[in-house]
Amino acid sequence: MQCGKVLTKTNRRLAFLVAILLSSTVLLPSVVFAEQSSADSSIASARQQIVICYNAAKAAEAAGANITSLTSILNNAVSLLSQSELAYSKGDFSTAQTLAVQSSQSLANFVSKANAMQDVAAQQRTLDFYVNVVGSIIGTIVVVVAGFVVWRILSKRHSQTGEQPDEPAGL
Amino acid sequence: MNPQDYKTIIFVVTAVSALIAASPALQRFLVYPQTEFFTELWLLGPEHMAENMPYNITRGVSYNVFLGISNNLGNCTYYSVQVKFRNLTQSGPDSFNRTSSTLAPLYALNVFVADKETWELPMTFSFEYSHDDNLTKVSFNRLLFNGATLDLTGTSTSRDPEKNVFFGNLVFELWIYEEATGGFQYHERFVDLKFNMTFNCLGARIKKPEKIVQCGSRINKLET
Repeated sequence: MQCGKVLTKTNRRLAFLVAILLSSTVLLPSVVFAEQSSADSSIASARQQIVICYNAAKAAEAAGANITSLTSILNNAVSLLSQSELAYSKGDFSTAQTLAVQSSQSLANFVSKANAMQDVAAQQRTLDFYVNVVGSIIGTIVVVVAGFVVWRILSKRHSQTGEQPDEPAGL
Repeated sequence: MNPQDYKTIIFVVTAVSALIAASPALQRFLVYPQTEFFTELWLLGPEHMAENMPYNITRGVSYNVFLGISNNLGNCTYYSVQVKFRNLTQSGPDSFNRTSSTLAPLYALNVFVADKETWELPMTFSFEYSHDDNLTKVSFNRLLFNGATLDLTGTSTSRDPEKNVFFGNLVFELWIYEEATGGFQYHERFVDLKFNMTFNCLGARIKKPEKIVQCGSRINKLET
């Protein structure tokens, strides 16, 4: 009887172990797959965001903005993304996802900042155009007119005083 | 005095003043547009000079070099420096055909460089490798590159019979992001470091070099 009880206990333990093993073989890959899939989407999202921010930075630069601060933020984001991709290649999906999310977070408000810089640069460019081009053209016209006026005044003064032109020496 | 006498003076003063006044506007139209668009890529040695590049490599020893990029493409550019390691027989980048190595990159250094700006990165690397008992082959384990551990398992190099060295080549290829394709394209530029993988190892003190010293994951036969 006792021997039978021991056997039953052993059987139960065995059955329990088998159940745990079976469930782990079924559940573990699905957990790993879920982590991988999550890391995948985070990395893809970070990549996409970086490209969007890059285009915003390029537009700001084309408008004449100094984008050193923007490239610094972008470089920080790509550095995190590179680390994330490295972790992913090593199968560390959890770290890969964390780093990819950090990369995306570092770019929060980037586009609005770039757009604001673009607007400021565009305004600066307009002002610069008015000061340098329009102002310069007006200044040139004023100088030419002033030269002509001086010439006219001197001619008038000369004709009023009736002064004769000086004879060249020796004639 | 006759105003005719002042004619030249007035004309010269007016012309010079007009030119000075017009110079900001002229500057805008007379500046030649940039005609050459290019990227510079360079490697500098540990003293930030183009000398003392690491050649004879000792296992476990860290080496420092500087990698630089200068952007003259006219706009902010998204670069990728792909780090590759190859032996004598593996595919390398070709300057004449302007092709990249077909090897998969071990690591990618992605960076944004604004127009007319320069980016420079100090790089630290060390190798972990072992050799066979006959000293005919070096098998690489890993490359430690700026804190990242890069797997080199499966890469090996044999003795180059001509130069009598174990050749290793660390290549930095420059790739550029193309909006049209949405990916990186080879920018036809690379810099590289050529190595001789020696049998020396860090921390080995040999009194009598009767036997060849092995270290790393293999047998340590040091006579201290």
